Amino acid sequence: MILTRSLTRIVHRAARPVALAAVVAVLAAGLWQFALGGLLSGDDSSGLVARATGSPQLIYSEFSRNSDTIWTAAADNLSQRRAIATVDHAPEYGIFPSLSPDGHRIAYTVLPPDSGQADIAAPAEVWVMDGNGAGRRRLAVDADLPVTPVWAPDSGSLVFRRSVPRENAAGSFQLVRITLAGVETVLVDAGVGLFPVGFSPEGATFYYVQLSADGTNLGRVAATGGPAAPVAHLSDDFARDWHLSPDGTRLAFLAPRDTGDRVSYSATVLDLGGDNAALVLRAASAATALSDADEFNPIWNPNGRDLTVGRLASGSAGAPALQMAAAGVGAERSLAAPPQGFDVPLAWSADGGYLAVRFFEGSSVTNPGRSWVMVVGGSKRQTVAATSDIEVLGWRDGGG
Amino acid sequence: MKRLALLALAITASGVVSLAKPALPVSGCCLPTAPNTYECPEDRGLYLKAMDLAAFNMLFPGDEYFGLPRLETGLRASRSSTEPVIPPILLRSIGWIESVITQATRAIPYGAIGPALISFDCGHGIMQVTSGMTTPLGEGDYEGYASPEQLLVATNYVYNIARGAVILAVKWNAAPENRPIAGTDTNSDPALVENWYFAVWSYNGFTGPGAKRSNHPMDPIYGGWPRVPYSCGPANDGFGHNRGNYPYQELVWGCAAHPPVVNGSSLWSPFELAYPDLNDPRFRGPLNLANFVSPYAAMDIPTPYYAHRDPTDKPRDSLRAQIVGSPQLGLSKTDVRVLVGKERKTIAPQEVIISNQGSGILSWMAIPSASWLQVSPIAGVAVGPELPCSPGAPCEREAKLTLTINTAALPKGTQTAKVRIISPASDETQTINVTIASLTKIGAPGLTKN
Repeated sequence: MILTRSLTRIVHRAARPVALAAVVAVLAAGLWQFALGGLLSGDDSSGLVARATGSPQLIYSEFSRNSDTIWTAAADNLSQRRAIATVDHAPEYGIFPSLSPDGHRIAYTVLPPDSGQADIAAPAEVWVMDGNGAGRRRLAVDADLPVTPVWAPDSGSLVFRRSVPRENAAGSFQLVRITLAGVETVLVDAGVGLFPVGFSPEGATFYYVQLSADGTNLGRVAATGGPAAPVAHLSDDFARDWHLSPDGTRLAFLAPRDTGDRVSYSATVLDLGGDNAALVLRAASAATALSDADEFNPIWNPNGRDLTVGRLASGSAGAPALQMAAAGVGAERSLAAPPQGFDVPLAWSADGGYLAVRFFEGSSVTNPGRSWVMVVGGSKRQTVAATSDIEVLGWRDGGG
Repeated sequence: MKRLALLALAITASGVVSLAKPALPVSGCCLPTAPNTYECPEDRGLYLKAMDLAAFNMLFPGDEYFGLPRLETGLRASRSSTEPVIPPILLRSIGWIESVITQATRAIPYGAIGPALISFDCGHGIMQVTSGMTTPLGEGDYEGYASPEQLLVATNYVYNIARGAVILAVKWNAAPENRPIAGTDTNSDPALVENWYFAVWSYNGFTGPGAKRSNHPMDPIYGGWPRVPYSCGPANDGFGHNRGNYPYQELVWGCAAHPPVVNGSSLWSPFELAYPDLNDPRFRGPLNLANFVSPYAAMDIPTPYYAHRDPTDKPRDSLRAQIVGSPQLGLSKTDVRVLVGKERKTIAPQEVIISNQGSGILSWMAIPSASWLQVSPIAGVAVGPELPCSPGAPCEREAKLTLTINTAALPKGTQTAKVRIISPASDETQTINVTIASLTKIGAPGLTKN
């Protein structure tokens, strides 16, 4: 919006037709990126398809006020990135993108730039594009912007959220499955906040979370729709950052832990395999050991057995991401640590060689300081070059 | 009373404001089309001064609609009130989040006159005032039209900012009956900026957890955890800029600490504000999910530490006159006489120039007395000569009012009607008398008489 207005003023003030024509020509040629004074130095925006290098490809979106750019960069040389697509959006509100499991498509929610509705509560749209940015099309309207779509395992459909807000109340909510042909099925309909979690590996069951005064509860429903069923009570309070294990038998998430003088989040694992869901990591009796630490975003390792979590203990400096067994047994292993601050894990490459993390330079949850996205590979840490906020969509194999 | 009742209902039933958006069709809002307004130069100097005046209740003290109410202070069981002062940093930061501190739509350059910024949900101007702006609230002589207050909010940045400040103060005073108190350990002192945490949250809407406009800081709808602080500063400053990742009060807190940069200069000095410590049970406990139940009595929190007082000096009294001005309504003519032929098929539109003979912004609205008499535009501004315009920018300081006769609805014979031009800021009303007379041939050829 600032850019738009500045351009309005530039055009307005252009005293000579030649100057005006030059401005228009630059815009029309799409050369504005080059006019940013080298901000995109090292980028190769001309190609839409990532060059195969053999190294896993990090897929991420980079925010700007009026449009976001989706990039791919090889893990072994992040400075050479390629633009997959640029998505225009309403001023100040970026897209919420999601990479399909097969890596061939990207879905996102967006407030369209011409909607005039730059407000988080405004109706968003769901779009999908091929992995190389081609074939972009709108799938759905009246979606909730900040709820990132969740893909089905076969990459043939996805779930987004639709809601109607009410003052002094949560509103009404739907989780809607939509095929790539645009056929919608309402999976869950409720008067409390709903969040999509994910599908079971074979795609038959869909898990979701609902927030209410009762706390955070996990539910499930057949992926084709039908009656919803409660699965487990995750917390009396806000649980968050839930991740289904690759085999669909466990759910990792953050649950608040109150030790009386401190409240923090800790990684928790719920076993979904039996008739009754049960905690297998960080049951209530294990609270003491982590009483002074915050844990962040428990994600599954590619092996499907272990977890990677961020952990920041009071007074610590340079807190790396940690790998641990989901069952809570065995030694923890630290990844390459930052000199200060702390890491929050985001996504492993499929080969387990690289981990994208969000690094914070601060020393507490309340004051986390500035942040960058980095890639940790072995003992090496690389910063993902960016001119603004980054959201990591995931990784693609580097073979092609 | 009817207007006030409707207004109260609107405040209670809806989110007060919405975030910024360019002007689009404004159906359902108090004015049928976006009226012209004045947009100050890009440095926002006039707007920031007006915000300081509004914060210290120096714009319209005592005014029922545009003057700040006294602020409640103290604990739940022992509330009293104090002189109203809002930390100015909050109005600056809210203004930027709402509209990037612009009164006109984004198509209008700075230092210019053009259509006002009106959002899809009738948020108006700099402070994106929504409450009381969704339907015409005029009554009596204004029945069916915008009320004078609505006109001023829509067209005049001074009143828009003043009203935004009032709404924020009303949100402050909503505690403890309908909102939690922040500052249980500091007597809920409004001089401590951090004590405005819930009031700022409420300015955008106190909606429930899980909603897309939840604003609850623990809500998982806001992406990853923890959140990098929000920034209105440069995109590459290492802080966050995508507004969809933040509850409203964190947008405002972040913008205060990381101010916008315009033409190389920050619009204000960075002002770090403390957030509730979410590891501390004194904050985290009240923010428990189970406590988000109206009237939120279990959500009271201490003052986030370490709290800050806004060091902004109270403006000098003379600043008010400079900002508010002294508008005076001027009309190029007050009698419009139209002679029409027998056929009465068409009648050429008539024009009246509305000017500001004084200073500041003169907001006006035109109300015709007859259905066959149409006015366009229905409202707008006439701008005093002291307000700066950018070279070459559209800046017609005088407004051109077009009177159109709808011949299909025009009764036969001589007709008279009036157009009342109201200027609420100067408390003036002038009338344009319109006479439609028929041309009738009588007597000798060439001699006419009506």
